[in-house]
Amino acid sequence: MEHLYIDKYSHLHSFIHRLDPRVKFIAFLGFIFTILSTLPAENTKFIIYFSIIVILIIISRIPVKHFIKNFFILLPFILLIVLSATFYGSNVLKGIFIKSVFSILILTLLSSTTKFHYLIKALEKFKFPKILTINMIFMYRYIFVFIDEKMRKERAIKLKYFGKRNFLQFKILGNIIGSMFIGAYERSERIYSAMCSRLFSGQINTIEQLKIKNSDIIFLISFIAILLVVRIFI
Amino acid sequence: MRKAVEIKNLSFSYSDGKKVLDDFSLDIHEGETVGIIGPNGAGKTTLLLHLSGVFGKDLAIKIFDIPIKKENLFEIRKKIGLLFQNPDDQLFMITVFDDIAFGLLNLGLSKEEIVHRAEKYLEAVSLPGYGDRISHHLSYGEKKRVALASVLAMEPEILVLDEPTANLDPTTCREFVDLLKNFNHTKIIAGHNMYVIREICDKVVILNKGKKIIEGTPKEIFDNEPLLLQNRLI
Ligand SMILES: Nc1ncnc2c1ncn2[C@@H]1O[C@H](COP(=O)(O)OP(=O)(O)O)[C@@H](O)[C@H]1O
Ligand SMILES: [Mg+2]
Repeated sequence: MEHLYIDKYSHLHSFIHRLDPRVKFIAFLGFIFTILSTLPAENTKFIIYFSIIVILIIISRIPVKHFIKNFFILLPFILLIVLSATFYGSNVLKGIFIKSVFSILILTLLSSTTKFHYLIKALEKFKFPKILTINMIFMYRYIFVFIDEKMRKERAIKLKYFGKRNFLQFKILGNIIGSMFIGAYERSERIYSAMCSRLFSGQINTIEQLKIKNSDIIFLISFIAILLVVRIFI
Repeated sequence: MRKAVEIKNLSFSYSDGKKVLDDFSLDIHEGETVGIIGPNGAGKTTLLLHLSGVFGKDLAIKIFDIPIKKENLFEIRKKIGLLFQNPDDQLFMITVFDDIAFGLLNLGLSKEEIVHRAEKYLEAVSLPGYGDRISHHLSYGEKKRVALASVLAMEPEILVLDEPTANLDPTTCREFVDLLKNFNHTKIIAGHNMYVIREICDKVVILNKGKKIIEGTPKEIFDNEPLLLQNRLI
């Protein structure tokens, strides 16, 4: 069974992949804030921002089609926001549109060059609330288990399909959804027992083995310097 | 010889009131390997969960003379290593290393010791270098071995294994049995794979409908065909 992974390309090797997740986090969020704080009329700046994004994408070796796909998934949301801003004139409109697109590209770059568990460790390092990071860990771990289960059930439906008696089909569907809920509940009980038997006492801890390298520091300083130069002097 | 486990007249039912364990008694001595066999639904899993104190207070059970009580749970769970039937229930973190580290962090070990033990026990289950793997991407047999490593890493005195070879192909099953033979812990193994039980156990108990039917050496039990038939074991 094949799955989609949000960090599907995170196993590739490139300079961007090798950066410390914390450094990537700060650099890319800094980039997004710089873009957001730029006035919509400053066209040169946006051209430079775009060039930086393109260069980063090229260095990362991630297929461009991945970015295009992600972009189209999120396009409806951007359009919704843009629509609600139509009353503020074309400049604002253009600004919002470009800024959203750039932000999506940068976030896609961040999430697809960093293994998910490293991203979480970076968040933990930045004192992100534990309850949220733990939720993300469980979500990432079990979403695929759940999808597998769903695929198996779907196959079972196909085997039981017996023509166009819609009412009966609904009944079967209801049963399947019900059994998946119960299945998930029982699984959570078993997982909890497994946690307790390994001395769980209300706190999930992880060890973070991240190490900042010289190249990380050099990248961070030069990247921020470039952003500042573009933002202030051009 | 010291008694590792002492179960005296244990009865238990889940909230629906049906008796799952019925006046069950068993003594297990240090260093022994005991097989618990019985048909599906006999109560094997429920019995094993009791040993880890999953159901809380349980004065019918003593582990190395310590009764299962709330204030003893930490001590008892340190001594008991419970391997669940389904490794997806036991491996709840994203990476193999984080899963092994989970229990070790709860033990309060230092970071160096945790890294050391993770390497040592991944080696012991012949999966060296698997720490960085994503649990979801492992094969079933690999998951099973990682789960075993996560239990062994806590260096328990008693290994409790719930159908350790269920769903493994014959070769993987044999490899897993050879692996288990390497460990000198006191072992309690539930299952209905006769080959496995005969191969590693010093003593076999038949459990059916929550009741202990008989206790004996593997030879006594497996040569008694009518008994096995009666208990749906062949
Ligand atoms: N969480 C639960 N709630 C209610 N009944 C359960 C639960 N878990 C198991 N049972 C019931 O307890 C009996 C014994 O189950 P189990 O211990 O899993 O048997 P085994 O492991 O030998 O197959 C079965 O009849 C099962 O339906
Ligand atoms: Mg069972």
